[in-house]
Amino acid sequence: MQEPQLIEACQRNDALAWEQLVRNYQNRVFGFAMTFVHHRDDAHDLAQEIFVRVYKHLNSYDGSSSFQAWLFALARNCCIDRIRRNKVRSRFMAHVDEEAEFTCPQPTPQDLTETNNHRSMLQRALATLSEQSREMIVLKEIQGLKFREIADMLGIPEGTAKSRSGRARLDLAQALTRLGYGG
Amino acid sequence: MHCQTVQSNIKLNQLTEIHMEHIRNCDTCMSCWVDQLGSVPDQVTAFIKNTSLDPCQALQTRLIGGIDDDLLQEHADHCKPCGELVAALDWADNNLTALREDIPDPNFVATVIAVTSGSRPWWSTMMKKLSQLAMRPRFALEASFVMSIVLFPFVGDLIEHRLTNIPTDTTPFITNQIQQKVQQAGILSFQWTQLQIGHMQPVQVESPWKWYQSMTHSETKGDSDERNP
Repeated sequence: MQEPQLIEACQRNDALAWEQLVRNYQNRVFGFAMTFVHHRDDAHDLAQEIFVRVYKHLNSYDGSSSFQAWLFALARNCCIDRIRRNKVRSRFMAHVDEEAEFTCPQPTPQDLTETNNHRSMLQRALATLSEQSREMIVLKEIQGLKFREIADMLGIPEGTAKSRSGRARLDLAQALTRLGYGG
Repeated sequence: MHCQTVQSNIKLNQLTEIHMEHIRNCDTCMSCWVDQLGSVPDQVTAFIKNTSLDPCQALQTRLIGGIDDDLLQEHADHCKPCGELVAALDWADNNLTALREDIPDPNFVATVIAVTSGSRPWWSTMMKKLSQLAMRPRFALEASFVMSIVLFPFVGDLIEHRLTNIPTDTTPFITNQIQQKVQQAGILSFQWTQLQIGHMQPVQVESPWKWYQSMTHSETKGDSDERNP
């Protein structure tokens, strides 16, 4: 089934179509969540929350933009809400490490392969970026959204999105250099 | 410095270090400059060649603009910090796609499906529960029982009350006619619910009202006689 038909079926509450849509996007949504929270358990919760929100708001998708852009706009809002909630929580919980959200994940036994090392390095570099720069890298460079889509999502002019993206790339390069990336 | 001044200088290709400093800190001017970069790359190259900017600063600024040319590479080859920066950016470009996807736990989809099936809109949940309830034989019997109660005493009273303005001698006739029709509808609905329950034997009843009477051991016999002459 093609994506437009799949989405229409989901909007008609077709359970099988919904399952297929979740299967199609689970890796990307989970990857997206991982770039925001870094911990697998948290990313699972966040990705699940994103899909629940997609499910609830699916009928509001009118096909005027690409489904991918719509999905990631929703996912981004979900991630921002999550981060805000965590920040508020950390103010009241002294024992919670405030920086845990963005600290670099420690290498795990899974990080043995080169790809995982690269992934880990990039996540560590992303964690050091400002929220704005990280967002631009995630949306443009990682998820491959168009500048037009990002601009619509963030409510900024397309030119501003381009310049923010360029600045974010420079920040990322500087962060990687500081961290002694594996290149 | 005023943005308008900077932007007019961008268009005239008359940028100085002060302008560039402003551009680096102003999204609007940066976007204007980036647009200019995209449209007239030759002029920008000329600007970079003639600028008095520090070469490293120029390189970083141009990295923001996403411009790639020989001049940039030439500087990067001879400047270690800038070379590292360019190499890091190349490395990031080659590896960032690895972050696009990540594999969640195998039961992730099942969890999402379970969670979302519980988060349907209230009307959808209600309809689902009702449809499950309607599949039970007991529900059909109970529904027809309730329908009989509603149709006969309540609607019957309502009709009689409404027809008080009609001459007294014609009222019972009209009321009876209506009640007969309602009774037929009740019987039909009762039979229909029975047909829906394939595995149950149809119960032969003369009317739902009599069935109701038999169920309630003729507690309301007097009342029923008045209503069903």
